[in-house]
Amino acid sequence: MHWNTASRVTTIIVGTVFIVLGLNVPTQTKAQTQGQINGPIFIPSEEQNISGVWWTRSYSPEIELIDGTDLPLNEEGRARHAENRATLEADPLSDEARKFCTPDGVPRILAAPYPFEILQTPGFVTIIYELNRVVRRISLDTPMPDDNTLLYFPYYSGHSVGHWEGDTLIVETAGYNDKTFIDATGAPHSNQLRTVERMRKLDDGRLEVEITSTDPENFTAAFTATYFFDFHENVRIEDYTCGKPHRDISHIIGVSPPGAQP
Amino acid sequence: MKTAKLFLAFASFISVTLSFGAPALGQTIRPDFSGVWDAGDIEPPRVGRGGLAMHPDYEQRGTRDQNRERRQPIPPIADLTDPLLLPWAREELRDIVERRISGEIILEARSQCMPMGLPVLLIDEAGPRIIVQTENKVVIINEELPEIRHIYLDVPHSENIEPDYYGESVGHYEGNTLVVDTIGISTETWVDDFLTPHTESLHVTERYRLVGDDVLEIEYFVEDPYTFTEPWGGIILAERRAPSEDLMEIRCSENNFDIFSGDILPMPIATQVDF
Repeated sequence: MHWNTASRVTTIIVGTVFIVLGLNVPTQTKAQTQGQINGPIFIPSEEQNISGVWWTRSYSPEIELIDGTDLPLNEEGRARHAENRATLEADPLSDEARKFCTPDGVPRILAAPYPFEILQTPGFVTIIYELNRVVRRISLDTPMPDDNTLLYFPYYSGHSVGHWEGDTLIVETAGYNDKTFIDATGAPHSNQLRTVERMRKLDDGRLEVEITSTDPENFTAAFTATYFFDFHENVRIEDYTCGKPHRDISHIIGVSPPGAQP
Repeated sequence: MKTAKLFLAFASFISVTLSFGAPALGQTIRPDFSGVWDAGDIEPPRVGRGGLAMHPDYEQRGTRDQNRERRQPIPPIADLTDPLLLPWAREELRDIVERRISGEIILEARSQCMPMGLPVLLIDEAGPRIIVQTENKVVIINEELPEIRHIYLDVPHSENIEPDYYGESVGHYEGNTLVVDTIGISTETWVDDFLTPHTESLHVTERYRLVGDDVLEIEYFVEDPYTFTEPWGGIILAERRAPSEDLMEIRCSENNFDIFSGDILPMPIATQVDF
């Protein structure tokens, strides 16, 4: 059942319950997305269903752009990248996302060799990445938070809003902090980073996420990368606590065994 | 179309009405727990007893008195005479009680940015949480740390459960109530703020239901026949925040320092990169 229909039916049900019980019918604006005592279980439509556990087949520390070019770094960005790269090569654990398990940020989290789960509910798409317990809440059909929120409450994973265009979920994100890298080689970004992701299920059942990033402080142009994920019906997202044993990811192409030199 | 709507409404209404007493019809209609919930106060259970008693001489207190004067805080200290504990658990707890009374600071899991486990995640003042309900699962995300629990609906427990901080949770709707059953909770976790230990037999049951538009009742039951002499439990009443509010991004490991001394507190740190 499409949500709009479901929502209308629910409104009728809730209304009916109130009338039958002899209660005052409250204004029902809030009931659109939450606040109902009971409601039908939300089931995404076939066309707009990207729910489930997804997992990449391969890992690359370096972001691979769709046109095969290098990152369009400006002079300042190139200098920062060289510095970050040298630091990370000298000590991989200087990377806070690896040492303290802080979120990888976007787009880097898309390259993670661990699975993630997409949950679709009325008004929201929630993505839970196993790596570092990253949670992204994507508010649907709502405006981007105001500039003050984006500036004063910067998140590792940014603030995201989304909407559907046919079978594609468009996710726009801003309000990132500047503590993460674009990729594991240390490509830099500032808090001016903005990303637009296009998420859709392909005919072969895979999930495609195409992401375009802009950051005028470090780049001369927007750049786009695409990631593909397989659906895993029987994989459950596990806890990920820093320094504790984690799931086996040795079968992911490009993953070096623990302790190996990169 | 109108007729169809009316019929649907009528059919659903019957289903709602019946589902309060008939679990079988709870499959298509479920209570709506969406939104952000504040952790609420704990009340005694309707039947049976509550958790371990507090030592009467050491009422827990914070870092300031009524006049806002600074004072030495007292952490939760268990009453070791409480008959709830089996001897091995009492002895293990005695060590913690004595060390805490002597002034030693023993940090609970949360203060070390470690997952708390169950039922302490419910009992502790755990900060806001969101509940995400989909067709086949319920995910509860506690904002702090964050802590994420996955509850799989309408499936049995796995045959071989690998112990985990949150164990393995399965659930189902019984009319207007979500019933969650959790086993396989890692013995690395404590049961409560007293730092009571437990065995691999720890079994936690939770019942979630709305007792008002924006009030969620979480009734929980705890049993571990190798740690406690009888089952115990409690009731939490949580309040729903305004619909405009959503989960914030909070990373425990970023803020884990003592606000008085400025010392960095222990936190999980990786000693090597895993990819």
